[in-house]
Amino acid sequence: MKNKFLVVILILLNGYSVAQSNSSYTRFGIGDPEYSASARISAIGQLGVAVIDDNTISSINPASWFKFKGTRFGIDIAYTGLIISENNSSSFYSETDFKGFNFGFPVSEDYGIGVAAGLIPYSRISYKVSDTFSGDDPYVVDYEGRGGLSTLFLGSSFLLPGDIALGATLDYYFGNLSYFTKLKFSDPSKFPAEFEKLNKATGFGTTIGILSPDISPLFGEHSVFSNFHFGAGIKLIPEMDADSLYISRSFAIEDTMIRAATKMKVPYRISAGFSFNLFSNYRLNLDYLFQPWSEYRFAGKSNNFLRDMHKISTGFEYKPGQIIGASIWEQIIWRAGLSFEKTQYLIFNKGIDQFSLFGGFSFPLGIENSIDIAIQYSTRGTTDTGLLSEKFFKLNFGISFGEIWFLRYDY
Amino acid sequence: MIKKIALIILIIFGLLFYSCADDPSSIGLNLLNQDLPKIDTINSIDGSFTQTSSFFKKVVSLGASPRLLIGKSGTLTAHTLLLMGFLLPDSIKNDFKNGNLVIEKAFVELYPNYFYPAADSLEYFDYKVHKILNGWSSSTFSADSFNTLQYNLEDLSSNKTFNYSIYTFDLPLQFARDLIDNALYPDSIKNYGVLISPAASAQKIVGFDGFTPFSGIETKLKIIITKQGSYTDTLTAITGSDISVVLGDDPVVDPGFMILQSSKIFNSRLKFDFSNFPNNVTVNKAVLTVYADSTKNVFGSQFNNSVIAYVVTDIDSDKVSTSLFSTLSLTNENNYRGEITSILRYWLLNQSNNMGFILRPGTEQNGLELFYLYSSEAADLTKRPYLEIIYSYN
Repeated sequence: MKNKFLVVILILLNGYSVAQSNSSYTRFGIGDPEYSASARISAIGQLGVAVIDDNTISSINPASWFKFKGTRFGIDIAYTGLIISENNSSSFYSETDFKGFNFGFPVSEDYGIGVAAGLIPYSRISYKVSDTFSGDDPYVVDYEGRGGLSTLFLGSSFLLPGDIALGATLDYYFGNLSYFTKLKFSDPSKFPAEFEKLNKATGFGTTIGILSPDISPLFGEHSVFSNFHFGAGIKLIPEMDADSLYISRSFAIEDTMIRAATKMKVPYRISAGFSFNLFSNYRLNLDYLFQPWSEYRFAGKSNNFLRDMHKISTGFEYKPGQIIGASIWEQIIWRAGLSFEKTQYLIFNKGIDQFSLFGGFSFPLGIENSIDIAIQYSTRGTTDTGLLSEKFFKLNFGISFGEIWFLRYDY
Repeated sequence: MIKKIALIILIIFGLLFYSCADDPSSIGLNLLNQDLPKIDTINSIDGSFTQTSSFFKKVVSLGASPRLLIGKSGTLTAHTLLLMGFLLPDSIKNDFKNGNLVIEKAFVELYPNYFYPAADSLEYFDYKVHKILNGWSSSTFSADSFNTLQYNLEDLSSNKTFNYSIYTFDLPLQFARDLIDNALYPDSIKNYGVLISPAASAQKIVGFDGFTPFSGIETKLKIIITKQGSYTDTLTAITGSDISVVLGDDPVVDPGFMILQSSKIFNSRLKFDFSNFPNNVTVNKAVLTVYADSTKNVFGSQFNNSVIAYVVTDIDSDKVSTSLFSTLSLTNENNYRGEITSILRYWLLNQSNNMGFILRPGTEQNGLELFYLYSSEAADLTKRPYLEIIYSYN
């Protein structure tokens, strides 16, 4: 069965390699930020800072790993369909994205030590725009943006006295931010030209998270609340090293015309929220995330097209109890969420806001394994002042495997 | 059940992943102003590209030329050296050795295909044929070698005919017998060929087809033999070597011009200095134009009216690249124009590669075409070699 899944994953990854989305907003800064690689977290508003789910490896709050029961491996892929509109026209684009994978296992349940590692995206640039110039000497210009930052992380959680969970990761950030301008003349005697502005960034950072103990007992012995936790996390990225290249390509000639070593400063990302269970089967979460993109710097320069980003989201999960003899359908975990985001984009002095609705479910594949689906519908931007209105539909598809490895048994 | 559901999900995703999307459009272009490419044009005048030019004479062997030149025009004198011999079957050899064969006639056929200058094609033409007395090689013989050539002053030709498509002359029978003997006894009887030189009264230069394998119309030497009471046959000699040399005074050229001439041979150097060319740009097209003074040009009747600009790879020896060159074709404006985009891009990658061009006639060894091109010192700036470059950047 696992081999079959592997084949399917490879086929889907192939789809990823040939697709391209088309949001010109991603030209600014380092592109669209990624909040969660996990379909489970995506379906509850993408944050879930205080959510404790022993079947999920949260990348936003490593403190939540203290509840690992067994070894987990997860891999996620997302499909995005995007309808993008200007004043008088619109187009549809789609792409498939590899959202990363992660791996975690418990070391000590008593001390809440869980260890996890993974490779997940931090931001993504993806656009392709074509412009045709007519006249005596017609030509076509294709603009294309590709790449983004990715994070390779390794971290651990630890349970402090008072059942306060603490987690931290060492993050290695890397990626290429490529912006292409391709010029092609109708006159075949004119050589085409391709210009690439390429920023290669690398650097280390850390993610620190904290989770409160369960405070539901404060609501009384017969309260409908349980597993009430507060959580917070911060991603810190010291200045990254960046190679900035300006490359010209044209018919067998590639010329790196400018190469400069510089610094890129990606601002910290801070998040906070709470989560609780209601009547044991229902879980709600409310989260807030802030990232001061006004502090973004590249080569010491700020970007006038960026502003501070705020995101607030809420989510809901229904998890049926484990009932002996329950059918597959009765074991499905259902999720929903919504979020509002003042994105970091400030284009032509107009802030770009995004509103999103989420839904999803986890389909059990045995006791420890599941297929996780998240569906997202978002609207972003406006057609005012020459901007873009985007409506996108995103399907996150994740496979989560659980096994009991590394656990020491007492006989 | 689980497998079926998983399969359905995977199929749905598979379809989604490979679903169609619109081709890239201009939607979102407003946001990409910072990447807008700029396309500019610069020329050698506005761009202040310093240019230099000069011409030089190059003495080379014309052995590779498919055309043989004979005649006089102005101070130019064209001579042709022909080495022909016979390869005889043993039966013929034996008959010759036994005295059974008699040479009835020996004659040469020349196929004219070119007149210089074209305007003088009807002028008087005559020539003399001399027996060469020393060895020569078509791969090394040049105008500078001509003074070392030894030949008999006696004119071997007789019964000359000058028809439209074929010229002929007879050779003495003894000369023909000497050629046969050379085939019979190559170690003792030497054959160095003949020199065909213009008569003093000739007023034009005529070109003939030289030896070209399987052409059928190259210059031929034939002898008619008879075996008493048996047969009469014609033997055709095989061309071993043929070559022309062109002698004469070098033209006096005003500094405002540079010249090119085939066969003689004159080439010109032309170099632009691109140190003022903008950095960090991509050259999309570059066109070189050189202007000719049609009143000074002297052309033959049939030639490739073009100029070839070769990239110089060694400035000391004037060595050129055989792969990096551009053909400048004649335009309606009576100038020669050609693309040099690849060449300019090669130079701009490393400006030390820029040792300029050497300009040569389109067919350097076929005729005597004399091109008068305006040089980098031409008083009229608009007549100087002109370079126009379209480039882009962003």
